[in-house]
Amino acid sequence: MLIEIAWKNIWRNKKRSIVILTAIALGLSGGIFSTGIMVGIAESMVNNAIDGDLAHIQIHTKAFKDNPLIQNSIPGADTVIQQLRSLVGMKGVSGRVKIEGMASSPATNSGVEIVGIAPKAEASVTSIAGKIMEGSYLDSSNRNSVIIGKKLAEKLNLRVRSKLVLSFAGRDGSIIYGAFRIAGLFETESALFDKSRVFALDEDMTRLLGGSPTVHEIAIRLVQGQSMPEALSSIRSAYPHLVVESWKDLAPELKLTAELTNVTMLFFLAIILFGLLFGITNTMLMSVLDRIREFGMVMAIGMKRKRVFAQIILETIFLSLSGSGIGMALGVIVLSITQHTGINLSVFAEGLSIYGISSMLYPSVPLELYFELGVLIVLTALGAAVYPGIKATRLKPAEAIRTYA
Amino acid sequence: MSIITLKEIEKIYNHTSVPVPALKGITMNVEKGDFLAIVGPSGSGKTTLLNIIGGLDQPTQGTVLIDGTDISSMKPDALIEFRLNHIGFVFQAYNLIPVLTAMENVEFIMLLQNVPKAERDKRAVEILCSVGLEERMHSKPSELSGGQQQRVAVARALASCPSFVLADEPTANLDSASAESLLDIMEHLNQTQSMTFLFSTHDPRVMKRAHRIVTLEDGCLISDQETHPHTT
Amino acid sequence: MNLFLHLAWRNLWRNKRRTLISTSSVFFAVLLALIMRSMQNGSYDYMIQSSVGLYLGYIQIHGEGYWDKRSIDQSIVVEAEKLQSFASNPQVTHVVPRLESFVLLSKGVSTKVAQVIGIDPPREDAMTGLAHRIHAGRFLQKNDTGILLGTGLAKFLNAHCGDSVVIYGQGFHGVTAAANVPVVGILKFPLPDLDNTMSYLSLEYAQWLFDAPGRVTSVALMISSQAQLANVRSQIERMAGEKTEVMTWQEMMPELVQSIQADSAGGILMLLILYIVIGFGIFGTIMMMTNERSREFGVLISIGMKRWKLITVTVMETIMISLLGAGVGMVVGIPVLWYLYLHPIPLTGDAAAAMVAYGLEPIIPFSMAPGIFIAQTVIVFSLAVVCAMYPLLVIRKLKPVAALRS
Repeated sequence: MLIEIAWKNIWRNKKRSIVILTAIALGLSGGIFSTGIMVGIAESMVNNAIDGDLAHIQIHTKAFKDNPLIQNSIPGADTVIQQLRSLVGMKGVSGRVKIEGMASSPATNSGVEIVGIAPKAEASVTSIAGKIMEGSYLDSSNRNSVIIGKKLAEKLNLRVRSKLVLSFAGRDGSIIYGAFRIAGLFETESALFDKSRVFALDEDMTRLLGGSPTVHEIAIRLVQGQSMPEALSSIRSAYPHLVVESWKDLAPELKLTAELTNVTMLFFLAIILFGLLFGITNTMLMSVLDRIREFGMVMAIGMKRKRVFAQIILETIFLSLSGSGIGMALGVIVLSITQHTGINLSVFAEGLSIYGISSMLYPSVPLELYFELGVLIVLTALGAAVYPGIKATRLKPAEAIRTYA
Repeated sequence: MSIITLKEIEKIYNHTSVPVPALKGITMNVEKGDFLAIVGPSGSGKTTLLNIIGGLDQPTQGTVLIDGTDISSMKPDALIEFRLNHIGFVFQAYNLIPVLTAMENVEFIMLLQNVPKAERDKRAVEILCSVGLEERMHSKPSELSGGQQQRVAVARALASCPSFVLADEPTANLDSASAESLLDIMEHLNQTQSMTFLFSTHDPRVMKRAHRIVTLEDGCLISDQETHPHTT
Repeated sequence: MNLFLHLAWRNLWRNKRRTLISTSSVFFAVLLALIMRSMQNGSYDYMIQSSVGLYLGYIQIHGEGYWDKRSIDQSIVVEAEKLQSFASNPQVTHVVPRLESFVLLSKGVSTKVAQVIGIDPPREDAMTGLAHRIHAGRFLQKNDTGILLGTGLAKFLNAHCGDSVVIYGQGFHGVTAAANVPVVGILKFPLPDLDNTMSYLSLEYAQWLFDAPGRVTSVALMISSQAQLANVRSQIERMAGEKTEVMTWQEMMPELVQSIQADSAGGILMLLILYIVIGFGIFGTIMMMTNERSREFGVLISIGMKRWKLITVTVMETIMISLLGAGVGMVVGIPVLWYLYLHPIPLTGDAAAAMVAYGLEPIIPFSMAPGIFIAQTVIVFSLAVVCAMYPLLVIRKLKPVAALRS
């Protein structure tokens, strides 16, 4: 019955309760929505990186990791790729030739990373084929062609069908020059990528390097991103002599952003909860002071102070949880709507591209957040109940029941 | 053994710059079955005395024995427990919890005593009937008249099986009919169950019905008279 | 008017508890808003300073067209007096000349494309702290004939301190630049990209190597405060001379500007949410305060006080409460933010490790810009004054008889 009393007491002053409930609801739903945006941004960054170049898993030799030299290629790469393709859950497997070199035009030079690919295989792993803005994607039948980023083309003052010279060090250290024609220009969410990557045909690179086909890097795209941990461990055990890494291992800056996002959200939520703490404390204080005679009376007839305190704590918790229930429901609704329509951030497109974030944002929130918020709200309620609780129980019953003020 | 024994009770208030002596050397006993009124003009110390007897305040000097236990220097939490089990209260107003029905208000005090539900329900109905409120058991205080509310208060006070009931000006806010009715009930309970009642009052209707009148003036006990013979 | 003010003030102190509750809700509101905004601004300033101080500088002077083409042919001659004149500007804290180009570095059979920067070692270190990144060997000195390599680069070339590497590239006006140069130090950068491509020579040696005596591709400037950027930029432009371009970091990296704007927009959204929460908090207390006094209002109106007079006094009371709360909030906020400014909140755990790996200090910085205090205090004060509309509405519609009964 004490629970019933606590619940009923909240609704004694409807106006006051509704004000604080609204504050809690708006504060929480605002917090949930902001978290959704920040998490959505971080996810956008990660997904774009994975889609664009990183893929879910990459394989190199240990030697290559230490020293990205041409000779540190993966032995028997073709077999490995075939074997990987036959595994369950693989969306695509792509072998890449990776060389650091220089791209030159009559206007200027630029340091680039040259990636030799098998066009069809690469298209099954990354989304580069879909990012061609001008011209066309690579085709095995179209020898000596490359695709470069639009930003790189601007820097080099070249366009589609222009000639581009790539220079890089060969196996013996001597410089190799290759003339290529630009087949197409791509534009991705990452400005850095667009300025530094040149894609060529793996066969062309092999031909220029001489010797047998070379693969330095195997990139794997899984059907389901969540299956990455299992895939990682099974591939690691299958190829113990190779270094098998996930995108998490390969891109620490993504990790940095994810961590910073968490910290920022935590601080923001903490501040909102502090604001709510004061609001709830004030509300409960006013509620207790309104009922001061009643508290005096029940303590006179025999209600222990601990129980009175417990009742106030209960009332505060009910009040706070009601508000948060509404707030979470509101947050879920707003999230569902924006997840469906997306949020258009194209006005910030260039700024976002430094970090590889798309202009169309789909907010998302991890399920644990709701649980964590629930716990935090209860803790806030407990904190808010302290002062009003003390006010109620410090009473001398004789003074409280005095009928004449 | 007397239910209540007061020995040389003194109470001095120190919260203004000049100490105010509210009670001076009060000594008296209250026996089981007493139906006693404490009377006196404003400022005579009635309320202070009643608060001390009820364990709501503590004397500066002297002892208060209730059922043989000295409560004059008990700690607040122990006092609360003691009041719960030994003293029933009826205040002038604000007796009831507004969000509970009459029946629930009576149950409330038994709940504090950890009485099991079945017994709580049974006793609550019984007591409410004995104060004539069978029809209004499930009404909230806001739906009851002043007199009915005071009757619920009496029922609640009795429900905890106290040694005595303390009523501070219980009829002050009531009209004549309701006041008489309330006094009838309390006198009836006094006679059938030997329940001890102590009132403070300056209502002549109440003084008329009391069996014993203790008069205070300026903090001193100036008279203590049996007005009705004690029927055992 | 004075009478109203006097009355309002007295009314405030009649019921201390009520006044205290209302004032404290405004007080806490201001404090929270100050803390949040200070934290946000602190982060932006820190972000700008880190990005800009890492290499770019707030302002750069180049030869005309250099920033687009990045060719050594667009280098300019900058005499020592010119550098001195830049430094004489009171807002300028660092002047850092550089000569940059792309070259091939090779040792044995390994060859790699690298960016080589000719630096003035003490000036460069003063601005970017480059000397702290030395992992092995030593930093460069003036007129040094050695080269510094990033660890990735050194590993690739299998070069250690004491080994020699060959530089091969294009110098000024097409002259071939080639030299054999000893490695004197290895640098560790937090970003793998830099680690794998950066190398440093002394400015004098680079000028000799590229046949560009007295020339630099850029002069980077650091200034004392972001707020002075526009002023300093115009001053520098007048000093820079013909055939030069003077650019601010915003012009050199517009993407960074936008990303800060995006962050700022997100921050404003969060601030708005905070305002809603604290606004409701303040409204709640004012609403309760008004309702508690409805009997008192009923009495005053029925004994003959004109409604508008009552409204004036009550609104004044609300304004006074808001002023008090906001004022105290701002006054308390100053030492609180000052403390946080000097002792930023340290981060721990994964976030801290990630930041350190990046060469960033793992802290949450705070800002003491006066604008924050004024803006937040005024905004919260306005929120509170808006809440004063409630008593106004209540008194307008008050029915005295009903109020007297409550």
